[in-house]
Amino acid sequence: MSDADRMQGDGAGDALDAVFAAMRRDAPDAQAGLLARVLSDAEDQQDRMAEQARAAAARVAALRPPEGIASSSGGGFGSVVSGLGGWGGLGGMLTATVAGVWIGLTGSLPTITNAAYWIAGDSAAAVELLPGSTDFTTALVPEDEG
Amino acid sequence: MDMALDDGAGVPDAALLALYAQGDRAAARALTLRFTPLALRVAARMLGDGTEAEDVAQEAMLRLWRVASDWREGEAKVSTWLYRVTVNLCTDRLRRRRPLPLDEAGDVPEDRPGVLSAMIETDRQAVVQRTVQDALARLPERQRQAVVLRHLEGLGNPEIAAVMGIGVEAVESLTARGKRALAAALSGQRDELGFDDE
Repeated sequence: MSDADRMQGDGAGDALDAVFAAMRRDAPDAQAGLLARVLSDAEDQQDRMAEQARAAAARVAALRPPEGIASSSGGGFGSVVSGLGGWGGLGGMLTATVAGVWIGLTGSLPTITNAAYWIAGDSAAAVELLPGSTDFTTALVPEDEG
Repeated sequence: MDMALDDGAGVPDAALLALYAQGDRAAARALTLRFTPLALRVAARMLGDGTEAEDVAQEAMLRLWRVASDWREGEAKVSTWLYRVTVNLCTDRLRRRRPLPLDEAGDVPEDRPGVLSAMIETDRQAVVQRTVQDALARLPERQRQAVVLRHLEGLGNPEIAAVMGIGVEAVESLTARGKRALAAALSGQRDELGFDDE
């Protein structure tokens, strides 16, 4: 039987299966440089997630009015506003409050357009609502004032 | 959780991913070791270029890192997800390439004396593998994906169907056609080179 005959039908398939097995065995290894880059990306992403979590926790803490501010003399509301971090912070709180009402009414996150509509003036920063995120406060990006 | 072994042996993929999302550095190492080779193998076989394959593998893993905190256990296997991402990234790369004339695709020497001396001077097996890799590169992309996932990654047809977003019958058709084309290329090469039967 000639080589050509052997390569017909199952013979050809068998030869190819043998090559596939060799290719699996000789598959390219991930070299150290690639592994190091991938790991570096992984750790950078972990650092980013940790920073976002810290920032979100700080914003949540900032939304709580400090004790006694509201009872100070004169413009109580102005004091409350400054205690909450100024109009930027208040804008964030309003966003959260309104969004909370929105979520309660509709069961879904408000769109960027709807949330921004409720903010007085133009102090609302671009609000990035993370799809699927259950931690709404992580979506608030307070605008830097001044 | 004992993370003494760098590859996190015995820890399920989704559990490692959850640990990773909580900042566990050992989980980051384990996932890197466990999954980077998968992405690299597939990219190398789909693209036929080592440097591009490394870029794709790194990009695929980057997407894994970014999805980790949103990963919902039970929705999909991590490996299936990564296969799908890698295959799609390769598709993007292939579409950006200028199409080459068929006889310029791949690295194989075109002159027959060159091929013959390669056969004599180097491991014959390497030449044969190169032949199949080049023929793989000439397959229509979907056939190439199916053949790589089935015959080089060893996935079952249902999983390949999930990776490629098609039905199981379509997978079977693609792998059959692809394998026939590769067998023909291998058969033709062996005839040309006059390989002695062993």
